[in-house]
Amino acid sequence: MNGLLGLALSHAWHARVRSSLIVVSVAIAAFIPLATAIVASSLEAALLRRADSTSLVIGGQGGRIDLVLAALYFRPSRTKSITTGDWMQLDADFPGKLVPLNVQHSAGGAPVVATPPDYLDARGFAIKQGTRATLVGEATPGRNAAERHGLSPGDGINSDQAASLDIAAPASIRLRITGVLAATGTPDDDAIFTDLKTAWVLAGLSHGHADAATAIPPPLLLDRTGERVVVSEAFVEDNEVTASNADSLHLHADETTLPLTAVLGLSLDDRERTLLRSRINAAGRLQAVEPGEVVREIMGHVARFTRAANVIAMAVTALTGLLVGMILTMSAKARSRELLTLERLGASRGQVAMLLAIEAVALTAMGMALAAAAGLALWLHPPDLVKLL
Amino acid sequence: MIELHDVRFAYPGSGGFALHVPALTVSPGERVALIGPSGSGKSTLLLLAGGVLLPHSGSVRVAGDDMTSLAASRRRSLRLRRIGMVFQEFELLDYLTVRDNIALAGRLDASIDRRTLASEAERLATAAGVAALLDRKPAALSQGERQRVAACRALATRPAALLCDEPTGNLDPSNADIVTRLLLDHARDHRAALLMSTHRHESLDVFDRVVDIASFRLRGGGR
Repeated sequence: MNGLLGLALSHAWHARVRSSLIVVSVAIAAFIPLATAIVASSLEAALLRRADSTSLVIGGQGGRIDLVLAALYFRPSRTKSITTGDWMQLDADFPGKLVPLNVQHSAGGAPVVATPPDYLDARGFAIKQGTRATLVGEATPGRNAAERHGLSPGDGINSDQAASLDIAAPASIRLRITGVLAATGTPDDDAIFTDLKTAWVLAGLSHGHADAATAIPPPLLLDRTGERVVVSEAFVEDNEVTASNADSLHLHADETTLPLTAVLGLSLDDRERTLLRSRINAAGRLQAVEPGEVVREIMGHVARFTRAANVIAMAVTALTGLLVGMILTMSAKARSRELLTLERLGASRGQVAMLLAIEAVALTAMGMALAAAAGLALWLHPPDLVKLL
Repeated sequence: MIELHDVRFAYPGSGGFALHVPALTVSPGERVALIGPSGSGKSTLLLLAGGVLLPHSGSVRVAGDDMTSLAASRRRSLRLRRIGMVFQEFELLDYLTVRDNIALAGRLDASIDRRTLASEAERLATAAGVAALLDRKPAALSQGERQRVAACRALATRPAALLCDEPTGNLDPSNADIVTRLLLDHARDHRAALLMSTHRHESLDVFDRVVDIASFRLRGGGR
């Protein structure tokens, strides 16, 4: 058997192009269903891990999935905003149990998550470096966001402008980094955390500037009629909140109408969750959803994709089997003279058949091993599919 | 010793061709040349002597064993261990090195000591002048070198019978002499019975005996 194994492997190595074709074909056929299963399971685990740590998500009307993906995974949302007024009412009934969140902005492509310190406490964040952001204009990135942009305490990062060609859009604001959060293995690692008021500065609802009456140089002051002041376009607003201009920050909106993406119920018990959910959904203006239910809905969609992928994988497997069978048959035909010589020298027909079978099995096993290795790599480093949702 | 007695054989559907060998004996150490025109049945006779083909009647004995009464597995084992075969087209395995080609029998029969076979391969390669080529593949060898390697493969198990089918048919005279000498010397030194078909009538005098296949009774064409 060892002798035949050596012969089979020698031939497989000699016919490297043909062998590689077989190995790669088998690997692809085996990898497709394996990868589908790994990716689906990894996606489910990632979604459930996050969903299980949040009792309830409250947001404006719109898609349930959109709301949960925005509130838990910081994905862009098309749901309507809820307001600080809504949040204040809810907080009055469930003090200390609900955390507001604004994820409408980004900086360097990373979501800017504006939330009170309660969020970081409830999620059990640790600071890896520096201190938490506490003032308007300060930011604390998660580990991945900090690594991606090379951020450390004392650095800064500019917020992204949603419409760079719109001159009426709020200007980019430079966020000062006060610290970096320790890794958590969750979407928080990819976010940049700030205070809620910072989100409103980024939205242009709150800003600071010098007193037009006293600090604007006369050449830049074009017109003044009572309270109305017209300044030159050469006058530049502050684009960073600093100790010297922090006092000049002021809102251009009612404090109860400021936008929030969602309000999270992070530490509600079953009774509180049921009560809050039924009350909000009965009122109809807002919606309250349990993330676990939404994740199961997402996994229902994923399962349909998985089933489709498995059908494709079966077709690929059948075609691969046909291809490998044809290659091996043609190979055996091309080797007929060699096989006849082996028989003349003393090999039995069984040995000759075994020689061909060993080579086929060995190449198939190599293909399976290659698929398993690729599957293991995928399992150890699964793609972040939540970002694609 | 190789002994064929009253052997009759015909290929199925051969249109009446038949080979009849009343008696042919090659003693240990004897070197016998088998001559005859192409298609006269020399190859068939060698395959019968090697137990690759079985006669319809008669007996074929090699090294004391009656090939016609042995089970297929025993016949196969005998061919691997006690019979050396050399073919006109060399029939080397192109994916094995010269070393592995010579020691091929060890891969097909686990009871053959592969270490002994390996050292025998080196000794034979040296004797055949191909020692420097042991780690090369057949594709890198000349025709003459390939046939020398094929001869070494046939001799590696120190067979009691050597059956050679036109081993010099594709070689230039110089290489033909080398291969013939290698086989003849082995037969003499190890008392092996050598039966070699050949067209090289000019070098028949190196054999102990020459048998013309035409002396056997044939019908129809031949192979």
